[in-house]
Amino acid sequence: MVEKVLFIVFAALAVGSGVGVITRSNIVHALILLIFSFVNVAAIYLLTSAFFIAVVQILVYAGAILVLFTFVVMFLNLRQYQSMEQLHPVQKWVALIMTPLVLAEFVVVALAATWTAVGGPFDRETVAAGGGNVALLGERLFNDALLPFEIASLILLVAMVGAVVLAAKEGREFMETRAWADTDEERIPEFVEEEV
Amino acid sequence: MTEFIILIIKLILIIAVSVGMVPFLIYFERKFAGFFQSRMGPTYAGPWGSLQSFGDMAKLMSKEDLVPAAADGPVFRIAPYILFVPAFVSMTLIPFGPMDVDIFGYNVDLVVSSFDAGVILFLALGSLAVYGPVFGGWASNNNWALLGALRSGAQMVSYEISMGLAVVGVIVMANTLNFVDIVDAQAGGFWNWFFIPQLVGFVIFFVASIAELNRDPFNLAEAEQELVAGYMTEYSGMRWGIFMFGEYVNMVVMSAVISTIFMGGWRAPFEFLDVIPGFIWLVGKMLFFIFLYMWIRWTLPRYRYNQLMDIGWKIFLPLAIANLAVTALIISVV
Repeated sequence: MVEKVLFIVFAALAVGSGVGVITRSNIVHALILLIFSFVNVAAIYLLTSAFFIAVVQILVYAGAILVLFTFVVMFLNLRQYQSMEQLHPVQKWVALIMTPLVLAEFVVVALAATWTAVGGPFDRETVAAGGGNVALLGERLFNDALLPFEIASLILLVAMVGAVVLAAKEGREFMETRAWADTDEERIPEFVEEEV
Repeated sequence: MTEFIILIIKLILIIAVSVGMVPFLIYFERKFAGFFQSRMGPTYAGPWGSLQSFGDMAKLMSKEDLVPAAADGPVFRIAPYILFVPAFVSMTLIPFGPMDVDIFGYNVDLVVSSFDAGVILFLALGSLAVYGPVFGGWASNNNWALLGALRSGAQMVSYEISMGLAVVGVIVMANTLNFVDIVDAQAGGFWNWFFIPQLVGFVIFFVASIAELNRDPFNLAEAEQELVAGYMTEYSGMRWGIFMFGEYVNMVVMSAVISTIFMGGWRAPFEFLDVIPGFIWLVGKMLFFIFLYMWIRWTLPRYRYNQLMDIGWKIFLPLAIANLAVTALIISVV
């Protein structure tokens, strides 16, 4: 009973702030509401005893990804939505067509689904007996799903290296436009590198 | 029902401890600052100036609550409070004593939540603490404040990574993510504490925690000579006071976390000293680390921003990874 009430509260907060994200014209307000929404989703995970997933939800989404969003917003100083609307005049009409389609898809899938509880070997008692959430998840992940796990980490590594390469290229071009790059022997002068 | 009441009492106690320590810490900080710089520190209010913090608080509360006309009102008002949320939640993970203690006939665990993924939760909350300064600085609508906000955000994000990797060494050794079990793994005297085998991780964690707390020598976010007061430029009165309060509460929490992870938590350095209750040991260790923070703050000059980033990314990150690799190798071989 308590859990049901808490679920309704957190779900309402998550959905409410999610609606706020797309209706705010101030982009930073939308960001804050998005963080709040993610934290509420983490709370729902907590209610289902998925502690590890809840923590990772906060760490990855509310922490890491949205900090990057915040940085981008602040560096570009996107204070008003109006200027963005001028940048993308067609987007509004595309959205007008796409959103009903996606909504219809959701409704169709929701109606076609059969709502029964999914059985699995991991109820609360077995998780507690097996040494807790983290231990069980770790065992499963590194015994049964090691190859997919490693492939996923490799893909992430490739993305990271790609980002570094792109950023480094732009950084070098930026340095070349500087006055001190005229000496054309050293692209980056020594005093910049040894400035520690 | 009794469990619920005990939980509420524990929560109130924890908030009272972490908030109640702050006025005294501010007084000590100013006294130590005087001591380190051959000055007197506060002397007028009360004996040896001991009522200084309360005088300051009365002054801050009686000041006008000022919100600049160009500021983003709601965000500007909320931002100072954001720092408290991660601090209080992290504090609930810290064990203050053994499990199943008999207090007035009730079986009480001296920790609010023995959380399965405690260490990761602490790191996750640390990443939420970034939003306080960042949104505060942005909402001020002031160039210095925005620069301070960006600096503090970039600094906290950079040092979080080496901080997280430094803890992983301890996690590998203790074989758990639960703070309660980490303390239990350090039972039996100070030679079992993790700061000896994990000395590299300990140093990285401590220095990174200074950067996380935005304290000198890493307080680039509010560098007075360059940015007036960084993200706090437009804040005044009690709202500014709440920012400062939040930073001190975070210092208390961070010292508790370091004591728990690396210095045996509530455990005594020798077994025969176990007669002294655990929370006294924990608070003693916390005060030691808080003194260390103050000592460093008033002794070292501030780093330059590129130096700060170089230390974080080029020294601490490789060092933390190497530390983790060596630890994992030794654990798997032995």
